[in-house]
Amino acid sequence: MNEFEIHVEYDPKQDYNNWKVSYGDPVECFRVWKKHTALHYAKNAARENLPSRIIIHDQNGNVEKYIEYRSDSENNIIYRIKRHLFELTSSELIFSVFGSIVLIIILLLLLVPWVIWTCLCCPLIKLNRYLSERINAIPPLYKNFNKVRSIHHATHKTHLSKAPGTYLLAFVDFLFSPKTVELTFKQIVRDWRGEYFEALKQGRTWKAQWIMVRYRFSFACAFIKASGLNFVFSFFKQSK
Amino acid sequence: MPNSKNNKEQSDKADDNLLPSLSRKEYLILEMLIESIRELYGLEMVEASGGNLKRGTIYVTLQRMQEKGLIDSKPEPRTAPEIGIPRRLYSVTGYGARVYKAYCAARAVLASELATIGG
Repeated sequence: MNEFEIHVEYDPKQDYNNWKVSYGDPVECFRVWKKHTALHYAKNAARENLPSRIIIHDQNGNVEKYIEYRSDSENNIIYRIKRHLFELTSSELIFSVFGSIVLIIILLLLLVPWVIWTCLCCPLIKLNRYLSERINAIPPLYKNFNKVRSIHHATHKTHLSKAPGTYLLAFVDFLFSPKTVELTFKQIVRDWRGEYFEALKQGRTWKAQWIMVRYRFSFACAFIKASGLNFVFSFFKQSK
Repeated sequence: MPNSKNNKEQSDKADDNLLPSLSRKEYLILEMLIESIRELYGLEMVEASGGNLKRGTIYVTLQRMQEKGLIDSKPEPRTAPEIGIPRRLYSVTGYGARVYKAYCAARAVLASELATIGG
């Protein structure tokens, strides 16, 4: 790549700053009074000697700006300006941004569990242990006091389920009159519960499950008949 | 307007004189209630019917019969304090017994008539 360097030179004779454009190997240079003249010469020379680069130095000798000239596949001159050495191109910028996002995500994935563990779990575990020690320190007053379990050991919760038909009763209570609910649906649910609990009492779990299925079907039949939907079905049957 | 009102009243009276409609299931329920000595629960009737009455439909039928005045129901008496829904005991009313007898008579007449026609 051909390089054209533009420097500022102080001329003590004239007490004036000259702009020096140096290029080639061996180095050739010429001096002008104004910066834009030097830049003009350098740009013309750079365009004629592709690929090329103009390096502009400031008064302290540091690189102020890069201007690169290249040609594309159709011989069009393209140029880009680099303001300093470590400036990134668009692709480099995309890669660096993407990389930094990935890094941040990885850091978050590592950090978040650690933060949750240290800030939430550890204090809770310490509190739990403290409470367990306090509970165990209480002298047993009753015979079965040792059955009182600490929070640390209380893994199983007591599961209470509603009696069969509770939700269905609430549903039909919303739709039908109290008389219909009392005389029809509550009686079905009464029989349902009676048979279900009898089966459970005898230890016949599968029988109890079968009763659940059968009475759900019966409840649906009663719902259809009480709501008058069976007449609709019979009408369709007759129309066929 | 007064003429139409009178016509409606006359038609209502005529309906009262007619035999009330009784489905096969209602007839079966009336039969069971009359033949049994005591009052019956709905589930007992289902079990005694031998598959003619279903769990899903019997209570709807019983409610309609109660609305017609054919049967009567009351919650079961509880001796000990119990929780849960009380079962209902069903019994036939006097009107229901009369309707049943009328239906039996009508069926007997119809059977004899059919026998004579067939003979």
